[in-house]
Amino acid sequence: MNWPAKMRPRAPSARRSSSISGDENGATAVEFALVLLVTALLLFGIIKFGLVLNNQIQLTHAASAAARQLSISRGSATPYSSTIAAMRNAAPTLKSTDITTTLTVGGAACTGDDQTCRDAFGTGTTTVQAQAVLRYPCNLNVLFIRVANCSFGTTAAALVQ
Amino acid sequence: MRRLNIAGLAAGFRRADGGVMAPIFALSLVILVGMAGAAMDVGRVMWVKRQLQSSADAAVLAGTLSVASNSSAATTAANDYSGLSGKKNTVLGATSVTMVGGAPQLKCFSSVKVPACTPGSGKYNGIVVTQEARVPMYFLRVVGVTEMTPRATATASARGGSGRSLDVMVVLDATASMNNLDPNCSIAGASKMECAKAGVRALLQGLNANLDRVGFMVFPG
Repeated sequence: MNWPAKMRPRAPSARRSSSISGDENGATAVEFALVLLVTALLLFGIIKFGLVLNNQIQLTHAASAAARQLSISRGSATPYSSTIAAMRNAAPTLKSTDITTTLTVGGAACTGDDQTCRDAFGTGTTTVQAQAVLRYPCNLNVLFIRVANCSFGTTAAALVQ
Repeated sequence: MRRLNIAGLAAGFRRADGGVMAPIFALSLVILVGMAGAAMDVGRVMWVKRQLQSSADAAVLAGTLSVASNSSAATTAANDYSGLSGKKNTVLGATSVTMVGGAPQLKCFSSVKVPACTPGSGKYNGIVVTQEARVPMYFLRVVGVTEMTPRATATASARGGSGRSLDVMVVLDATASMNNLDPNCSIAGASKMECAKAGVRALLQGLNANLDRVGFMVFPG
């Protein structure tokens, strides 16, 4: 077979005799490995960023749902638990035990149990504010390398009806 | 000192086929980084959009509480709970948030029966908030997009929908004992009959003339 000079396979003996530093056969593989590292870092970075962004948007939505539920809970027997339920329903893929929730009604804490929350409503006028402050942790791991341990938060307020 | 052999280097560069992947990758990296950047920019817009919608919802719900009774209080409440800078639901990640039209728009919806509203009467039963945010772009700037302006609208009415009518039957006792004094009546010195009539009047005033049906009967009649 007539190979062009450049593509002609070297005789096995010639390959054996050449030193490893002069060998160009694996160059593409090495380059590919380097390129793959950068590409994968970028790709997984995008994926991770997308996940964290999704979490943040869900948390924002959950805070708003919680504030709204709390704002219509005057006179309810279970203002705290129904607010927490509304919040969890609004953020189905967040780990609900990881969400730090601070609920207030007109500045009074509505945290922990329904009794505290009912007391927070008191007998006040309608111009009090129901507020939900939520925090959620995010670990920015890209390719198993921990970039940063962070958390993000969001606040939503609603007028008590 | 060795002289740099430019011609020799250039010839070597032309012949070399070892580093073909590097320039290709360098080119594609520009696109990849651009795409990652675009994803971040658009992602931020989506986050702002979510906040805009949440704050618009809170604003109209705060406003509807008083829209039928006190429209200026409704405007104030809607502004207070909006996503504007310095308000209770301030939107993060945007350079500025404005309310389209400058303020919450008070509406008179004829489809809403309770509380009813006649257009042009200066009374309102609904409120609309449209918010717009300006989100600066950091990566998409390269292709000429310097900012995006997501919008969110929320509408709410005072009680909503058409009211459900009530069927009320009032039966009034008209026996002689109704002439006796009623010590429990809120009207001092009123007889039981006067007190009952006052009660019926209060009941009728609480009903809606356009919706509810009331029957009246006296016994022994």
